[in-house]
Amino acid sequence: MSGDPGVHPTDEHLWAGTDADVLAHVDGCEACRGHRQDLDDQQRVVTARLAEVAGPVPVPTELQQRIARTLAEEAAQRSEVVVPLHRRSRPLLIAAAAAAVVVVGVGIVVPQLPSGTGSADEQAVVAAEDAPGGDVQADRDAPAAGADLAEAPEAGSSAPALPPDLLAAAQELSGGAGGCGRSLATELGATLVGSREPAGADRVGVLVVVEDPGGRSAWWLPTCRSTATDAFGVSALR
Amino acid sequence: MTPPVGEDDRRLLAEHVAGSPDAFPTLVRRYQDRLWAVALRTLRDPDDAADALQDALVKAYRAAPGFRGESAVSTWLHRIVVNSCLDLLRRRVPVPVDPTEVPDARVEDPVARLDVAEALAQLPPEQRAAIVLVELQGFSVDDAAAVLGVPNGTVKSRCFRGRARLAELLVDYAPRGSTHASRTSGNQAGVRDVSSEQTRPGRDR
Repeated sequence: MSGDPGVHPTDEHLWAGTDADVLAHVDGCEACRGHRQDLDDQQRVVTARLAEVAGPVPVPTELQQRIARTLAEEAAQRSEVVVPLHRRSRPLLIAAAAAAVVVVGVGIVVPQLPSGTGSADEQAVVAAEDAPGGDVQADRDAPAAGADLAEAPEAGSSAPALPPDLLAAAQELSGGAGGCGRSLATELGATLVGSREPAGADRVGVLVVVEDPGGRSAWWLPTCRSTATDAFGVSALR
Repeated sequence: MTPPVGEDDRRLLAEHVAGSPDAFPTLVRRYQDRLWAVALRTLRDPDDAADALQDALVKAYRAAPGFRGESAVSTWLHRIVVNSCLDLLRRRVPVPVDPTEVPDARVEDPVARLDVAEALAQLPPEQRAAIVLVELQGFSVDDAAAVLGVPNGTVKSRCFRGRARLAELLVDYAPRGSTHASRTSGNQAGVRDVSSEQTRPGRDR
């Protein structure tokens, strides 16, 4: 094997960092030049042999299926433990509906009861909390979704409130991340105050703060170009 | 407009964290062939590789909320797979290699050569992983360092040592008609001398 006499595969591997006087010796020493040529030849062969097995290896179909099954099982387990954000509004609605029914019922009954048993709202809350079904309990585990939805600057947004760490980060945020979040600001007719990517130390996505005449709001989005409908979370800033 | 793959990967992972059931499987389908190649070439045994890949993907599925975004999602996935493979290799009871069973093509039969996969299997796990990533999967040294969680120089060193060992195992080395003394006295000895020189600590910077 010859190759380009001016290019030695060993240059990158063997001689990098070697003293100049050693290199000068190698160039002038027949025995060393011979060794070097041997090593160059070896490296070319190794490269060629490795190239024989390089390239993509399709995953066997049965393994694909096995992985798909395993991930589906993981997803099923997860859904039992964590209610995904985009589904958290459902138990909230169920709880609200249950509360409304109870309010109506209590409203009929309360005038006939002695005073001092609490307001209808308090009783409704108690009744809703006592309502059977895991959905209500699951919603309690959601991070203050109901309260923060009320605070959300966009009445139509179904995104839950930001988790506390992102909310705290958003309070401090100004500038940064270039034009990240501009699509959202344009969509809302707001001014882009600042953005951060990734959203937090242990968070994916981006954190964007915008401002309009109603005040500032913080948005947790999947990407810099995401819009309000994609939001993982949103909270008004004070 | 289609977003760049890296950005789309992050979006998928974010959607997975947010509860989308389709996001992570989409991410897996995108990289499964590359991840499988790494697992298979690192472990060699298809059953072990399948176990390692599955184990790694489950870990990634669960660990996604902790992804800090400091590397590409693909790098993060490769890192989990490589770690899973190395864990498996370290747990294995090492099978001693009988040097008399390793065909020395340079001496006995210039045609007989070790299969590349067999030769790779004889490298220490860390060297093997570096060689697989850089030489077979086409990772840059920087990316391989990120996957392996070691400095760039360590990747270079492992690749160099790995290649030196592979040269011993793979090269059906035919002596050229040289006047060099070490060749006339037997090429095998000459090569071994050089190889041992190569692997001497401090040379592979």
